[in-house]
Amino acid sequence: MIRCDWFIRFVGDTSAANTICDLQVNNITTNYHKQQLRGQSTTLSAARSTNSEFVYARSNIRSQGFVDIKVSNNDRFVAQSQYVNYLGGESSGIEQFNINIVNTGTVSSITSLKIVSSRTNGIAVGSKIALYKVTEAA
Amino acid sequence: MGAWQEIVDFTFTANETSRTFSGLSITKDDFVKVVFNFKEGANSTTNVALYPNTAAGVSGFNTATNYHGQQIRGSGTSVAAERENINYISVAELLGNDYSLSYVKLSENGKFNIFTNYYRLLDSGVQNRFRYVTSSNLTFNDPITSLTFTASVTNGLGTGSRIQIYKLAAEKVADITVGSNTTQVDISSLSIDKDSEYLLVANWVATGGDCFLTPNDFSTLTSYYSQRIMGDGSSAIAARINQPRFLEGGNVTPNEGISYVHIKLSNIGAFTAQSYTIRDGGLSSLRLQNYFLSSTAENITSITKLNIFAGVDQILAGSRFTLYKLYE
Repeated sequence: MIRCDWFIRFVGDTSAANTICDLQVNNITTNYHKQQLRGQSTTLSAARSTNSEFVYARSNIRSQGFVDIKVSNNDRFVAQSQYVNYLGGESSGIEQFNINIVNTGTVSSITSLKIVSSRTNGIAVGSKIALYKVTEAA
Repeated sequence: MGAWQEIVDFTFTANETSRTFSGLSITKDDFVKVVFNFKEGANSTTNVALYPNTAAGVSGFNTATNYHGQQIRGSGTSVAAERENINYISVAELLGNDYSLSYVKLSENGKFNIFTNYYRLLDSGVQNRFRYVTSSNLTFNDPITSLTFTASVTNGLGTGSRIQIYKLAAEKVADITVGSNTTQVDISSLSIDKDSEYLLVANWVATGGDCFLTPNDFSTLTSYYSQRIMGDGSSAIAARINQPRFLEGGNVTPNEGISYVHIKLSNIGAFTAQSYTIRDGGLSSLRLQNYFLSSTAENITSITKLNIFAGVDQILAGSRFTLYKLYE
């Protein structure tokens, strides 16, 4: 099992445009399924999509979280992302996300991981990503 | 040695109804991770329960009504919550393949607790679920010597299912048991930098109130935001406050809450924590609570002290706080 610890500060204009980041394994771009729970103030919502979005943010915010990553026993890529967005200001405050991602294609091992921003240069200078191998066979 | 030490790795070579792993020694000092890749063996909706101490013969150990579970699930755009008399950690149907990541903890009062985050893969896409379980009506001796996975359907644990169990083997930085009721617990002489991640296991005995977590005596409540998701019976609730709240006390006396909290100083110096809590109040008030908090400050360079505080004397005797250095 791999744990990805990340901090990302997103950049962009101040319009309503959003930035998301996908987590792609082995340069695979298809067969992802995602389900999320999102708590934002008193609103608890859910969303499902066919991508590998592991972090979502509006412009000019910071996002901090963890992703537990594993190849399951039936050769599927699995990622569980849990993070907090700090939006700033009394009115917007903070929001939290809990996301499960699975790729239904065959992934027998992970040789590469790619984080892809939906906006050009959306991942700001100073963002940091660390990968840890947290479990291994006895 | 890594942060997690593997104690079980088993792959099913035939369909089975139940599988026990014995010879274990899971104490109140331990924090255990269970990774369960469930391939359904029967073409019928199958629940898988996790029971402790099969061999030790605790009366009623496998009686579902001795356990209480609280769940939140997201399915498409719908959110639902349920509180149940069961201790399932996974549910699959129609020869499905599910994946669950669970943490298991024997709390100070002898309750067996399971925190699970899992997904079900449906034709319509993936569904995610948080399911927290506690043995409300049972107490277990220390240590737990076995874990049993039992399917609700004959031969429901399918060939190819895999169970991996790990004990946390990370450096224990602090281990504090409160001797008398107090207002604040400090963990000092720390050296938490931006590279490391810490895990706080909190067994807060309380009769009410809220508990807060701050670094370096920087305890101005409005310098933090906390957002929570909570399952309370059939209510799925979200709330945000301008405080570093990471635990909520109960409305029963006394209440036992068991939590694990990931603590991270971000790359720009913001203090963040993710708290996951089972608050045991029995079937009438068991709650699942996930608090995520962040400081508004972005200039914290290191953490030398953690402050855990509540209302006057609201941290009751017997509360225990254990801090681990997970990764660096």
